[in-house]
Amino acid sequence: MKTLIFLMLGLSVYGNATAVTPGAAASAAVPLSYQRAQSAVMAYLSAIDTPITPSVWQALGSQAIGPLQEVIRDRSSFPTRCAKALEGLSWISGEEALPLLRAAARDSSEPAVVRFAALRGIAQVVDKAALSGELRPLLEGAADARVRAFAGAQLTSRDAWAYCGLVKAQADRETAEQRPQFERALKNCTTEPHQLDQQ
Amino acid sequence: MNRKVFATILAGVLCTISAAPIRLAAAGRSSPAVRIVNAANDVRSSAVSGASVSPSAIPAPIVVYAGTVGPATEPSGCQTPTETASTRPFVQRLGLHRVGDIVNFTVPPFTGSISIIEQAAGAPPQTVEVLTEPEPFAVPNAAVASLITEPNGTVLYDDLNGPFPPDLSTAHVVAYDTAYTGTITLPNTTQALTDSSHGYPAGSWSVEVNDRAFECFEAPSLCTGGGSSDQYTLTVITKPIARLLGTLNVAIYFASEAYSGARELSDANFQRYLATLSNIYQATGVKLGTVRLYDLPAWAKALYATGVDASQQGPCAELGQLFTLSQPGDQLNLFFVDDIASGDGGEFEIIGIDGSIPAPSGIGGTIASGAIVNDSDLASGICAATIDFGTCGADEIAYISAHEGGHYMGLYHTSEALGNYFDPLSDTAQCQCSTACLDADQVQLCSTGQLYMTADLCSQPGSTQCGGADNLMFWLLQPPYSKGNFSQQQGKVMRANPVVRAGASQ
Repeated sequence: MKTLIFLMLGLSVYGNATAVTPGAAASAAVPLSYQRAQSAVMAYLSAIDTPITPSVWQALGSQAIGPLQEVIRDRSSFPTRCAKALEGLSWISGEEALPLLRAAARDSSEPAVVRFAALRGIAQVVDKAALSGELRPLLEGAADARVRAFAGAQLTSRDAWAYCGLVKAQADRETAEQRPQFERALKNCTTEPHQLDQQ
Repeated sequence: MNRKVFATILAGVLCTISAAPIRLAAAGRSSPAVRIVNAANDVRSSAVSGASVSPSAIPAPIVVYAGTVGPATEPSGCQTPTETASTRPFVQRLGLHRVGDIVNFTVPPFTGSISIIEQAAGAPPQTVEVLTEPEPFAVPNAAVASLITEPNGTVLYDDLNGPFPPDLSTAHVVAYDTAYTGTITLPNTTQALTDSSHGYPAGSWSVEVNDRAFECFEAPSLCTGGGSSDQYTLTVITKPIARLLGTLNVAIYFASEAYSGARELSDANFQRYLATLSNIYQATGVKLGTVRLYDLPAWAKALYATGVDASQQGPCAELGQLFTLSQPGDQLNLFFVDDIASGDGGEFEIIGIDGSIPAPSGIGGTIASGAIVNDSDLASGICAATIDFGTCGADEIAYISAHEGGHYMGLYHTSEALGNYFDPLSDTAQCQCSTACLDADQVQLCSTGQLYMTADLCSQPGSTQCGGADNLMFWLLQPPYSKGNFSQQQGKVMRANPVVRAGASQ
């Protein structure tokens, strides 16, 4: 039961991440110097297996935007750091991050992890009405099947009822080898969770 | 022995450590061995090593391409295999038991570590509800053995009733919650290292088969959704007292579309990765033995082509299902993937995660038998002669792999991000979210969960309250603070894990 208590404590602090609105709190409780914000940004981009939650990003305030943009624009940045920078920028800047997110998502020279992070960010910062306009072209037109599938997963996770038909149609157009990549996207369309007794 | 004494001993050890060259076995080609000159001095300038290591006594790892593993076609439905046979000599397969059963097992003389592994049979409830105000709170069910009892009746661990000392380093056992397949490996605390230093008491021990649902059943005032009918297959693995040197075999599975085992065998970045991984572990007296590279079948590569969504809980989630492809045998199972999502809705990027802490070492193919590492940076950056975790992608991924491997072998973060939880070892520095490490205006953020203790805040020389950033198991890899260091006790915990074989032979 001790483990149970620990988990409760942990969740109470780390949890409720998704309740935070992207871009909603771009001001630090205690204003940080640019240098401190830059230092914190570089540290958070170096997290290994601990997610950086939206409230932690947003606590850095607008001072973090510049350092994050620098990492994203620096072609020598490690792909995983660039991906996390896109994520941080999404949470801090909200819809204002869209041009950078859009550019990264559409750039076929970017590594998959960067494009995935950009797609994830787009799905977070745009409202439902704009989601199709942003992600449908990538679902149907990206040259990389992984990007098509990831775009599909973002659409169905945000609004399964609206996009399952679209994503299923795209999955049907994929080759037999590529179709399994859409499994995650289509899982969002099922109402029944995986049951252990299916085995 | 205090930290200053450790450092003094270490100063004499470090100069003798150099990088181990990599030998290629399967390809039959001459070895383009990677030697990283003087790397050890850069990587572990203040490391506390658990052993006096002579590199000349350490064989280089052998790298083998072992082909494609896993079923040729995608299995239908959720896979929850129980134990895959281990070849270990000290394995006790104790059969299927219902929660609440007290099961005896034997601890031979001079046993230095004990692993107790519960694997669910059937479908235990995935969550229970904790009765909190104003609303109940759902938490995942977990397989956690309890009432671990020595031959003289001393209870080393009672998951329901404790005691749970505030300083976890004084506990006999610390357990980590894992759904479906749960592993407890002793020793994993400072007290346990003392308990086992001359061997755990030989004789007949006992353990209660247990999960959180059963605890709920026994404590109905605290939670609901429990029951007393869940069943688990119980396995106990004992291991003689660990020596100063151990050998660790590694299996790497390429779930990524970008990489394949056959290609990486001769890839310079990958060899750099292995050389750095070998270097990091050498400080603990753990040498890489055989490194086997596996490809996954086309269906699995396609299924995980967009990475792994580790936000999903339970045995049927992507993470657990990927780990069922791990092979039997004693090895650290690392899966390379292109993306790892975490968080409630998969909205956060992470670059590594384990199935459980520790892993069910020696038992492959379970839903917890592995760790995943994001391989996206492998070919990025500039790799000079010396190890640089900040500029060389291969070095960075080696660090991540070593960190996740540390979890696999039972190590926790020296400090968690919020600076409020610490590992159960007394010789690793903590980094506390407190006035000891922060300005007064920042301390007010400690209770809000908005301030993470970054490496620059946790690098005060000689501090046991504001240190630890140089340690491999710090929660961040933040150059230049991160050095990949280990404490002596961390080295002992690793070498005690069943996955590490005694001695330096392959």
